[in-house]
Amino acid sequence: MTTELFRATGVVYKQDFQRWAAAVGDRNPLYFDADYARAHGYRDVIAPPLFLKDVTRGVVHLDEIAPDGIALSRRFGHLDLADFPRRMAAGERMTIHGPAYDGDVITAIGTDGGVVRKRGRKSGEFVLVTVCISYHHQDGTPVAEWTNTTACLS
Amino acid sequence: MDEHHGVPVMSATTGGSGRGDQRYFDDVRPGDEVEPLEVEVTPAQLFFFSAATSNGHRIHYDRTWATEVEGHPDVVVPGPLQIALAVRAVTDWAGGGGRLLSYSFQSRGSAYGGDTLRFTAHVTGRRDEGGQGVVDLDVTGEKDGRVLLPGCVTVALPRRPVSPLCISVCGQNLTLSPLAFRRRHWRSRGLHG
Repeated sequence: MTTELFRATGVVYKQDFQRWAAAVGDRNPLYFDADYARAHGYRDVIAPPLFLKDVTRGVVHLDEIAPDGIALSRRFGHLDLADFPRRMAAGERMTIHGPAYDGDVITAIGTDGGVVRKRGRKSGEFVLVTVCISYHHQDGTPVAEWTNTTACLS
Repeated sequence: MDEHHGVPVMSATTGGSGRGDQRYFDDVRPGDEVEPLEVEVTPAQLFFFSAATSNGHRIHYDRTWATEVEGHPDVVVPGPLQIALAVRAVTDWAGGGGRLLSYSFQSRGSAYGGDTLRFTAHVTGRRDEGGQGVVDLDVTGEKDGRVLLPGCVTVALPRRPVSPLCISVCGQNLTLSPLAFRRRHWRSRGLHG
């Protein structure tokens, strides 16, 4: 039985996903040109699939940020990681089921994907925390599943 | 386009707009290589990506924090940006009719502000999945020849449109779409079309 860690809802905004694409240097016309997107079977420009990860992050107030700048809500408060304060991306995988458009309301459900303690030759002891998030539309249609692993280092 | 080791690459400033050509499932073979994507990740890009992902982690923009507190040699390229660039190399190749189905990456090494990253990919397999043309690719992100980001990406590609059939009847050229031709053929045999 997987443990539900959180549930969050967010709205897809065109300007937000276009800023995301611009920051990646990705000028894919599917994200910017509605006529081009329609000619390829979509009803409007679509959000870059990887942008979905950022739709439901919500608003973080300045007093909700740890000294390293990471939002407290993203620091795995359900785990005791006081001895492992540093965070590094360790890997991720994603399956995409369908497009998301401007104005779509997306719900994310995060579940525990496992916690593994390891020892590296250079990094010493560290903890790998995996979170699985499924994203879906309001009618329940799945949009994507994302599994993300973060290395927590001493 | 920049020249790099004799291979044309897209620079970060010209962006991934080198698409245009649609890739078709019918034309793809295992071993086919994707045009490499090379990007110099500037500190400004790190800032814009952190802003776009609402990521406040100071290792991505605060050099003093990155080096003195967390022990990195410089500001760090976010893992998700490396992955977004690796996926972009494939979606650029796939064209607007292609669809990203899945990806999987392992973040094996860090990159820092000002580093030039190179993303390469090649087709490892192709298959029909319920009438959908599916293509698997191995994708690698590297810096100075060192692999930072091994992974794989799977996309669906459209099939090449069937060209109309052109036949000559009594000296007149008639162009029939394959479907219309099939319908006439069925009708002539008393079948429903």
